[in-house]
Amino acid sequence: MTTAVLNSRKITQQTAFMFLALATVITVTPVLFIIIYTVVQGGGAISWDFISQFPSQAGKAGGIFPAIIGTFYLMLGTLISALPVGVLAGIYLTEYARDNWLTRLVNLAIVNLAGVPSIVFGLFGLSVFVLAFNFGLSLLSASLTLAAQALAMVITTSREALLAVPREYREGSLAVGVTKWQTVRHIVLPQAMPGIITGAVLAISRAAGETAPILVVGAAFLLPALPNSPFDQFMALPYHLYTTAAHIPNMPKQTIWGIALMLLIVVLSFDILAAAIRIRTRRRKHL
Amino acid sequence: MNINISVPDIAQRPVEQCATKINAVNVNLFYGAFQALRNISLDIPSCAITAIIGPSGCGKSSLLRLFNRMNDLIPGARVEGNVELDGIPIYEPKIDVVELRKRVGMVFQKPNPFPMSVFENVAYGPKRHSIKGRGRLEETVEKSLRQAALWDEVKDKLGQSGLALSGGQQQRLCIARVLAVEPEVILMDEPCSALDPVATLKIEDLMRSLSGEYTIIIVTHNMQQAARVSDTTAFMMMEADRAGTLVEYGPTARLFTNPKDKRTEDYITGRFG
Repeated sequence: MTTAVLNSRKITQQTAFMFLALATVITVTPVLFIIIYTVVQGGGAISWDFISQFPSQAGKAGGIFPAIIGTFYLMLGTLISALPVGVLAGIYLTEYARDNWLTRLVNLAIVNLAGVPSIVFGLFGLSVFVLAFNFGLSLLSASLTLAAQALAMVITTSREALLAVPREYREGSLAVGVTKWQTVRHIVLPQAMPGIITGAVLAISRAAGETAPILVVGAAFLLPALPNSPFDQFMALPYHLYTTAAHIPNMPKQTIWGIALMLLIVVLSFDILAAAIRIRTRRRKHL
Repeated sequence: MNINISVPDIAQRPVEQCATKINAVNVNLFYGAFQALRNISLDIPSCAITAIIGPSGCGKSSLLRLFNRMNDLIPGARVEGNVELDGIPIYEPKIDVVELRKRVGMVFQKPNPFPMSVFENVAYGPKRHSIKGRGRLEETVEKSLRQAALWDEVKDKLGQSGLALSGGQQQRLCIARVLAVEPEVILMDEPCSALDPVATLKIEDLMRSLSGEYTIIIVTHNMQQAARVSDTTAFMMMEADRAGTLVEYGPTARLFTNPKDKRTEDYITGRFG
């Protein structure tokens, strides 16, 4: 090969690298910008009083304690409702369901479920959980509504995690006269668990940031007390943020950004939790 | 490289005297519309080593997986004809496949220890078959590891991950895992193809030492290996439509020194394959 050809190939390669790097920078910049901007704008609002006190003067003063607690309850309720059902459905679809048109249709439906606009889930929750099941405007209705939305992601990530378990492990287990269920229970599930947990926690953290669905199934702007039971109404960070930013005149900007920062912290801490679980189980697995 | 096949002077048992363990009559295997095996009939003697040899893609592994119904896992797989274990047809609907696989264990091409400790790997089968109690489990694990000629190498690291062992040790661990459920037949699908020569030799010695107690069937693409370890050999080829057929089957010494079929002779003298 001549040097000219070699040089031109080198230039092509470097150009390609440059564009790929540029694309990465373009992707990362908005994320970094949002985080930094939120911290700069809202950092000053964060104080012990802000996170530990009830709001006063329509949210202009006081803290956002009940909204933090409400969001926490909501995530817990969503996790409890979505994780077991989602994982079990994932196991069934991956390990047991025959590969026929019905299974493929169900899989397609689940994937598309993730694309349904969240306000539609809200209306679904309103008509099914709030009205038909008579759970009322409540934490329970909201958790179930968010769970319905999170299910798609929980099932999809569970399926992927289960499918990623090597065939050799399954065969090795079946080849010593162990049943299918024992194989799933003792070989496949432990292997897939980190992936399943990660997917579930990410789904929950996404649900925590949702505003539209909870708007119609039980979130309230201001409540005098924390919810006492799953049938009570609740406050939540995204809804509190929406209302203070959109409907309260003369709202201090710093407080609005402070709420946004708290919401980011809650959501990101769950993402970090997911990563920690994954790293921990992976390390333990290899002893 | 010397391609002459020398039949070792191991006193090979006269397999004619062995009872038949597995018996296949006119077996056809299909994967969907594709026929993988055509008209296979053979008797596998008990307590001996049977080798299945032949060129790549001739259906050796498919034939092996017929005996513990591992082909069932492949969607669209269908078996015609009759396969019997101790005279009992294993493709009857009333046959419990789990129980069958307990009696007919399998070792795979790539060592596949589970991502757990050496002890847990061997104890896996017995535990699932409800052998409880640490004492009995420890006994079973030690016995199986001794049988698999691995005990001395791992007795001080039973708590370590099975994945941390060398390739040859991993394969012997997999053999111990199968032995722990006390099978009658052990199927081995090219168990040495991922191993170095020293590790290969160890597995072969192990096979010989196990052959008194167990019926062993080994698929190998290594003719020397078949000649070294087996008592009987089955030679397979594929036909024009890629379906595998049995060309010749007989005592190893006879098949390698005096093949009856021209195709067997061509294959073992290295003219193709």
